[in-house]
Amino acid sequence: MAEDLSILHFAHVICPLLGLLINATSQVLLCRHERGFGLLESIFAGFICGLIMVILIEVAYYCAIPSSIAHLLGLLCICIITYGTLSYCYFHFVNLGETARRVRILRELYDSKDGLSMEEILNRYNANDIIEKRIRRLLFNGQIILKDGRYFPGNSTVLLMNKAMVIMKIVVLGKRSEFD
Amino acid sequence: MSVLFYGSLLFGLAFVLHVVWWRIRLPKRQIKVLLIILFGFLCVGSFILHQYALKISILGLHPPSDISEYSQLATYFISLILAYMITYSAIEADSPSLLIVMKISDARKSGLTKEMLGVDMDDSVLVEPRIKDLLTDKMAEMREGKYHLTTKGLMMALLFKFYRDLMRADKGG
Repeated sequence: MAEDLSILHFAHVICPLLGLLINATSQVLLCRHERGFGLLESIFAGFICGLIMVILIEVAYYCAIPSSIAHLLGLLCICIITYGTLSYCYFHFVNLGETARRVRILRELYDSKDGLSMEEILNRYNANDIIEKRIRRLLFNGQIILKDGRYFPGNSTVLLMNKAMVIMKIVVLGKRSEFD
Repeated sequence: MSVLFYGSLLFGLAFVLHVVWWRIRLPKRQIKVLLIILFGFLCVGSFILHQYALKISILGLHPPSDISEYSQLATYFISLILAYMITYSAIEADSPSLLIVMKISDARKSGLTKEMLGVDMDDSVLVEPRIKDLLTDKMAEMREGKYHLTTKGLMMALLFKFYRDLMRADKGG
């Protein structure tokens, strides 16, 4: 019995990982769905599915080994934080595939078995493409607005994120940009 | 609660060491050094907590006591490492989207045209440094004037290709 209980205690280790698995699986399935969920919608829905799984596992654990509510809340707290952090990683992993320049260059090199010169890379992927794609994405998400051929700030979320990133750069690197 | 507290404390200490180190001298292979610091703190910290469990008590909280709690602490700490490593890639390199938003925000009410946005953001700023990163991280190599993937780069390319195909998405970028 004691051994069973000790195995059960590892539920808190497995719980966030299982939540992440449910998150990723449901996100991919929603993305592939014929109705065509957007990337952000699918990521959000996947996160909710995983979160429900995490809470259900913790409640099931509490039912199997009753203890104080404070103990349950403590365990739930760490499981949700770990799950949230893993989901943040997953979100960025998906986002890297979507937006990272390094990943795109890797893909171009992968598609060219004989390798690529700098000129050939720039013919396939260059600053103009990068700016065009980003402007389109920022307009689509309402983060910038186009009026009379000029771009203006949209919702402030991305600006706040940007400011937070600049603060992190100053704290860690002591400069505002990689080119300072 | 002790897992949450001691896990966060260890990560906080590792973060402080990382910042101090970076401000004194920026390592050439930043990601590698950062991983050594963070995983080093996890291993050494867990060992110290385990060895001196009876003597340590901060805010009335004793360190984790059994293997299941240490496993939980490791899971929590590794999830923090992964999250920070991913965030660090945005700290290390300027994101074009964030640069665009900053430029537009700085222009305020007058706004910016597409041509104005492109100023200072050419291939030498947006593409060439990222190719250099691939060489530094040994994901690509130069042979006879051409860039080729290394085994490490090939694994990364395959991973992202597999995932993008799974989501029926394009090449991205």
